[in-house]
Amino acid sequence: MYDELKVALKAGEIMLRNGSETFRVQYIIKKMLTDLDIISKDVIVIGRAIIVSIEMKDKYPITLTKSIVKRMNNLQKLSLVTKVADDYSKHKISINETMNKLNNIDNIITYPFWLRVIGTGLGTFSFTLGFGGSFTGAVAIFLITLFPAYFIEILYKNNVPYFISNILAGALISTLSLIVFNFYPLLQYDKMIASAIVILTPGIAAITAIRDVVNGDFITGASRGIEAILSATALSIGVGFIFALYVFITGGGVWQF
Amino acid sequence: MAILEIIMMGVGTGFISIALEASKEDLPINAMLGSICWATYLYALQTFDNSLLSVFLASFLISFLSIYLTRRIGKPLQVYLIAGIIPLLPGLNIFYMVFGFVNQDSKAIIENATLTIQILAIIVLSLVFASSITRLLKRLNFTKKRSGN
Repeated sequence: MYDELKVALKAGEIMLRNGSETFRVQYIIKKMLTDLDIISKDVIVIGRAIIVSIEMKDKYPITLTKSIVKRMNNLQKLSLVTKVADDYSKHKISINETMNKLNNIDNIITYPFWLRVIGTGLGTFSFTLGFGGSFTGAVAIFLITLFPAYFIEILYKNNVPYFISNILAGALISTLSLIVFNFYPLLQYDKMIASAIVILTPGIAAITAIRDVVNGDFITGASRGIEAILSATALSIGVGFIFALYVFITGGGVWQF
Repeated sequence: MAILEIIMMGVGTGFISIALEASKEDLPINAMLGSICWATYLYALQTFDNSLLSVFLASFLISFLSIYLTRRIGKPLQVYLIAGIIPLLPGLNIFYMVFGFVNQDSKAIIENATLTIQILAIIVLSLVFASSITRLLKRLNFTKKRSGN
């Protein structure tokens, strides 16, 4: 029974660490606790912690807790864990097999680091064209975005708080944009920077937070919401500080829209 | 021009899905959702001339499609929903808000901050609507089947 609880908790931990909503983590854990001896099962997910408690016939209740340190977005891991949980709950795979699969999923590298950085760059390139920007502007923002995308990944790996990394990424985007602006003042900078900001905007975190609130989980929703607001604030501080510095040094406006 | 924009939004969504580490088989689906989202947004904007209503309609359609794909393929809703709504995220408004701070333009700050919150709230609202309607349809279908038996 203890093993089944550990497996379910592992699945929940991977889901929570990779950007799942609270109610889905709870659903996956409950789905995996299939033992017929279980009288009641309670799963509580608050912020970055999971608490699972089960009560069985003629046995002491067991409670396990797990907390996560970092949170990120990995859609592939969410899909894979859901599939494994589904297979396990339908008794298609054994408990050991499930644990091995979950460990493999936890260590999986979906795309190499360089591909993720280039993917982000190409994303901003396409978005600039999609927002109606020019081809030259799209190429410029592709090159500009590669640096903050690389930088953010490195900072994340080195456990630098997201608030600091967002300030630095925002500052880097605006610094590089201003350098390019000095050489090519006719580029459409609003569309370029907007597409770069879309990548860094905590919109996904904000939407997950509101979804948690809508599903009745106010504590996690509020904490995620605050995280999203702080991320956006950090980004604004980074971008705004460099622009303000530029205006202060040059004594004029940056550019008008 | 609009067709190129729609295609590029789809391609961009596909590339951003790489950064979000979506699995390889989901990349074309996500790109398609990005294109559909932007096409709906542009069409609604042209028809109704109201950006918030356009965001609502685009995200409502994406929510429906994501729910359908989730049920069909058996993956979590987030996999398709997050990628599909990326083109609607208010990056431009956040940028104008920051610009308002730099230029000390309170009107621009308040206007764009309000719009950012409104857009995010509307995206979630559309998802709630779409999932409620889907549940209702499912229940109606279930009731019909039971009464048929």
